[in-house]
Amino acid sequence: MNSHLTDEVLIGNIHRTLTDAQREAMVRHLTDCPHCRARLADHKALQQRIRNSLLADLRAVQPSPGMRFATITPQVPGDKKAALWRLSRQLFPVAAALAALIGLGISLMDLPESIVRLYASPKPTSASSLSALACVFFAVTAVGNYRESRFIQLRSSLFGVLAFILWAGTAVVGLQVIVVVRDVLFWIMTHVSDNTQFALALGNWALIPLGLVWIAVVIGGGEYHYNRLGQRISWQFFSWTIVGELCILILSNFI
Amino acid sequence: MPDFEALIQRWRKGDERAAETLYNHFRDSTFRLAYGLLGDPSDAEEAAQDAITYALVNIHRYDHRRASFSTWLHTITVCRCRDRYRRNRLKKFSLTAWIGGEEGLPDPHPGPEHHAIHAETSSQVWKAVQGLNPPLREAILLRYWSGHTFREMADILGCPVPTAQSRVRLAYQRLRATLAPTELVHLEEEESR
Repeated sequence: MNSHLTDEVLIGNIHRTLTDAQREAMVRHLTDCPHCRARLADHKALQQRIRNSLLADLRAVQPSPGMRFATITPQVPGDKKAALWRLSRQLFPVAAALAALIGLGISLMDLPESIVRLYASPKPTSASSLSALACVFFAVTAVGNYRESRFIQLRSSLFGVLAFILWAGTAVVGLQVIVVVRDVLFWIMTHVSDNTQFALALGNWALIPLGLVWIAVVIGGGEYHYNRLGQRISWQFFSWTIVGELCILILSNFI
Repeated sequence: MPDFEALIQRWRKGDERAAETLYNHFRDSTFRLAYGLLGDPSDAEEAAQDAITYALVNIHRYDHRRASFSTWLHTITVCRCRDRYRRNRLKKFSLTAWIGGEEGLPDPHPGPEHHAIHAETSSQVWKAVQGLNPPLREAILLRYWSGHTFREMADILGCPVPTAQSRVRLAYQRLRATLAPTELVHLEEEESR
């Protein structure tokens, strides 16, 4: 008798990948070789068991109730009117983000002066008003994406651009927030004690921990949004960040 | 079994009900294929939803003479899952961890279904399949779970037929080597019940 069949041939047989000639040779060998017949039976049984176990594992799982047609309805094309409405809805957050960027750009002109000035402004500056307005537009951008499906691969690049604008925008507004917090601290200290020099020093020294917090939030937030790009939770986090910043900016109106 | 060609024609004409029927019919199988490929229910759901949406939005690109709708859909699903592998590989690098934190930011809402699903699918075979490298996992799932022919698999995986065949063989050999003899006995016992 020839030497026994290789595992390669037996596995090829159970997966039906043998050529006709190979299969014929194998059948001829199996006729006279109970050892190889037993090995083939073992392979067949194992393959069947693996298949059955895999099928059972996969049949045991179900998609969540959130995975339904209604989720993607806004993304699938309907008539022209609906398509136009969808397009305008998609462009709205982009337009809001651009408006916010312009407002923020103008307000930034005042930022260097705000940082270096050695006393708190008794009145809200035009910069903080513009930043607050930019925040409102950023919030519109973030909230405008709440209902967008994150499943659309084609839109992931747009989500990426919007998320980047929001991340950079909130980071820049964060710098202005630091200045406002410093001014608030200065204002509180001047009202608590008459020592203006001490209040000034405290306000300026506060820039260091505030700056460290800012760096941590910018880096950590960037990673958070990168890992959840386009997801509702990311837009929500942006919204809360913007609301927080907006509250602090508005606070400057009361000092 | 619905008449898919008729449904596709109706959807091409704008009948949303046809799209919904197609969606509902392929939802579970697409999700399960993605789950088998990715091993994570939320990733699988996103990839499957993305694949079905892409297929429905780009239905004009589907040519029934080249492949069945399910083969075409599975091609898209495998592509989406490959995108996920790549993204997940990038995720493994954590900037916060690198800067000094112990670990990256955890998912704040893993959800109870996530844990339930993991508990249900913790068989040794499942673990062994998840331990295969992506090309072999794709091959074994398309063959064993979806039941595709090697010709269809070659189309889906974008490789020659002999490559698809050798990937299935290699995946089987790896599974055979990975599954301990005791586990095979356990499987045998379950089978006989």
